[in-house]
This record gives sequence, C-alpha cells and structure tokens, in this order.
Amino acid sequence: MTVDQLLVSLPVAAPLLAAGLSLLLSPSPGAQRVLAITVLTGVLVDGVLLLQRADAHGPVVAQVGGYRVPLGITLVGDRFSALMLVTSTAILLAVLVYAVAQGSSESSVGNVPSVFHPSYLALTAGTALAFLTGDLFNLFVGLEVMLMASYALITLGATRERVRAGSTYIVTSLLSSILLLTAIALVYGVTGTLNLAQLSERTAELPEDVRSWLSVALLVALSIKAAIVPMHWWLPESYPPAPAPITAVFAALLTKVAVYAVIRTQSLLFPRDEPWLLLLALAALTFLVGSIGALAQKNLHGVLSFLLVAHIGFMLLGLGISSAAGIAGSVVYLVHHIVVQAALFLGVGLVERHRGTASLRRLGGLTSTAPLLSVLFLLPALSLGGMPPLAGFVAKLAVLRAAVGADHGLTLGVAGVALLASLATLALVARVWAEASGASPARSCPILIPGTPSSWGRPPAAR
Amino acid sequence: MPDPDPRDALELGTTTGSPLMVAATAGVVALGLAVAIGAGPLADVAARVGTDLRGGDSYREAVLGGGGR
Repeated sequence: MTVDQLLVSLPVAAPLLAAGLSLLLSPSPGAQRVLAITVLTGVLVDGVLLLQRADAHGPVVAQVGGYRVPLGITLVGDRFSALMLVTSTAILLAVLVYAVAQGSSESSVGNVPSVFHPSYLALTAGTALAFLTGDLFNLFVGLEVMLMASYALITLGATRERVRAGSTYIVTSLLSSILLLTAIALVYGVTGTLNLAQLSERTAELPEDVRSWLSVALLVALSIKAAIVPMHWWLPESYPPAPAPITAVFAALLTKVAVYAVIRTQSLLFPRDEPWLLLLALAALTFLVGSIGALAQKNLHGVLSFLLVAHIGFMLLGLGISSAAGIAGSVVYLVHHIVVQAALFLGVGLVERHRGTASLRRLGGLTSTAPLLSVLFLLPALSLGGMPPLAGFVAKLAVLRAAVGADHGLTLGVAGVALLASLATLALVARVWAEASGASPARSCPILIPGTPSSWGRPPAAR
Repeated sequence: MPDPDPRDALELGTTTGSPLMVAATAGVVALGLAVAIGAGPLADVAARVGTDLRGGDSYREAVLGGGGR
C-alpha cells in the first residue's frame, strides 16, 4: 500500500477499528476518551496532508482490496472531499472535547456499556466514507453508518422527550434511506454501474428525459437528509431535545454531508450549462420557510434549527446557478456553515447550562452575568447573518456574486430572497442580543435545584 | 417519572460550564474567524473545486485512467 492510498483509506479505517476497540474498553472511560481524541487528531492531520496532496497533484485514489473499477470500493481524495474531511474532523474533535468536559460521554447506565465513544467514532468513519467514496452505493453506506451512529447518540440518556424526538428522526431517516436506495437502484438499472467516474461518462450518453428523471430522483432522496424545504419537517422537531454536543455535531455535519452528496452527484453526473430552475425554486422556498419559521420561535434551539434550514438555501443557490463560480460559492458556504452551526449550538449549550433554559424570554442580563458566553454566541451569530468581515459575509458574497454573474432573471430573484433571509437572520440576532442585554428574568421563573422534585421535568420554557 | 436530564439539575444563573467546554466552544469560534482571515486561500481552493466539479475530467482521469496513483 502506497502512502497516497494510506492517506485516503485511514480516515475511514482508523475510526471504524477504533469504534470496535472503544466498545471493548467500555469499562475504562478514560481509555475511551484518549483513544477517541487520538484517532480524531490523527484523522485531522491525515485530512490536512490529503488536502495538500490533492491540491498540488490532483485526486488521490485507492482501490480497496486491489479490485479494479467497478468491482472494488473506490476511495477518492480530491480537493472537495479533502476540504470537507478537514473541516468536519476539526469540528468533530472540538465537539468531542466539549462532550468529554460536559460528561455526555459518560453514558453508562447500570450494566449497559458506554456507547458514546464507539458511536461517535462510527459517526466519524461514516462521515469520512461519505466524503471519500468514489461510488454511489458506498455513499449510501457512508450515510447509513453515520445515521446508525446518530440514532444511538440522539437518544443518549433516554429521556421520554429524547426518545420521542429520536423516533421522528429515525423514522424520517429510514424513509429517506429507502428513497435513496431506490434512486441508486434506478441509476444502476439504467447505466449498469455505480462508480461515479464511470457514471459521469455513461449519464452523458443517456436521453435527456432519462437524465432529468435520474437527477431529480437523487435530489429528492437526498433532500430529506439535507433538510431542503419541503422535506425539512423533521429537523426542527428532532434536534432541540438532544444534548448540546450531539445537537452541535448533527447541525454542523449531518445535513451538510447530504448537501455535499447533492453537489457531488449533480455536478459530476448531471452537469448543466444553464441555471437549474428546480433547484433555484427549492432554494427560494428554503430561504423563505426557514426564515419565517425562525422568526416565529421562542427559544434558541428553535431559532437555530430553522435558521439552519434557511441557510441551506445558499448552498442550493450556488449549485443551481450551474457555473464554476456558483459551485465554488456553495463550497465556501458549506465550510462556513459547518463551523458556524457547531459554534452556535455549542454556545447555546453553554447558555442553557448557565440559565437552565434556552427560552429567549429568560436571557435577560446574560451579557452582564456571562459576558464571555455572550461574545461566544454573538460572533458566530453575526457571521451567520453575514456581517462583514466575518466568514458568513465572505461566503454569502461568493454565492451572490455568482448569482449576479449568471445574468439570469431567476438567479437574481433568488439572490434577492437570499438577501431577505440574511436580513431576517440579522434581525433575529438583534432580538436575541436585545433580550440578553435586558433586565434579568423575574425571580418567579423556575429555579432548578439539584435533587429536588423540579428535576421531574424540564420547565415549559426549556422545551 | 423522574427525568434524569442532567441539564435540569441546574440552579438558575449559577453555572457556566467547565473551562474545557468554554475552551472547545472558543476553539470553534476561532476556527470561524480563521475562515474569515483565510478567506482568500479558501476562495482559491473553492474556485479550483468549482472548476474540477464542472469539468470532472481530473476526477475521471484519476479513477479510470491509469488506476490511480
């Protein structure tokens, strides 16, 4: 095995093997923590080296087991997949440190072994496989490995609320998986291969209507996982009850891996010379529904969940423009969105820990009692709103410049809707900041004391 | 039925989380700032990604031609 092949294989193999080892180490949480942090650090270093190689010398390819295309598993580390690998692993590592500090990782209940670290490592392996795979079926496998791990993580602690939200999430994920598998079967039935490189040659030879149907089938199947409106219904329902680090990693990665899959499959298999009207319409709908939903929320979890949905629109807009500049804008936005969503949900976790609630009405006095937390929330929130010179501004500018450059009526119209969504985000940030800068909440609000009957249920405002 | 959610076992306004939790959050916020500071190089890489994905030639060549490096 060459160094290049090792570079592209390790991000999948190492966390997967470590997940099994971590399960064996469940009697020793300390060893589990060291193992997980070491492996994720290794994957991050590997990702950086892979990105350097791919950027300088082109895609790095490994045919697992030495089988030739299309029989074996092809792993491809190109600029796009390596960039996503680096960004996602950096976030996974930071969230792991947060989770270890919070104690989310100590999930042993009775004789049930701690499943946090094995699940988290499996999630890392699934994410890496989804980014690096060179064929459609293993893209599905990567998404499923990731989702199976997420099923365990979202119900960690097994409160009634979490199990209910987890049930919605699991049922929806299974439905989307069935749709994706069906779409993949259709692609295979028509082209006779699932290797992405071969597919890109064969789809070009298909009749236009068949290409369009296959393209839409893959888009619909992935749109549930990516929370594209109108397939977004599950997300605001599922994320809020989970522990903060779990919500952070889900918000940052799960939908974005699906967006990555949409960009990869649509640009490689179904390249277009003109703006894609369907995707532009979905982008506009995603901006509108996400923003309006966020404005109607009364707690930070709800606000962020709907804003997450709204900002998926930027990535769809970039891809829908169907130009190199548009796709580049989507890629910059993808990187920004992964980082900013993780920062916001971790920040909300800290705020909730400080206040015992994420209700907007109970944030009063936060800026004076916890100025550091306030700043840690404000910076990514402003970035999400597109405030210069933060990353969100750079990412939005990249997408909007591409939209204007396309010189097409619809791209300009959707760019206008995108600006409105950004304004709505900034208005929400201003509202949150105004609440946090206001007077402290009345003492009549629930005060939660360890070991008292108040722990029988979270206060209504915290839900 | 008691709810074992650890977040409930908090007294309002008394805990800010461990320093490590704050440090991890600060690290992610700093990464966001790094994305802004390194926006030029990131935009350059993204532009090359856009060109790669639009054409797809380098991807096809790497996977199908020569069996990869």
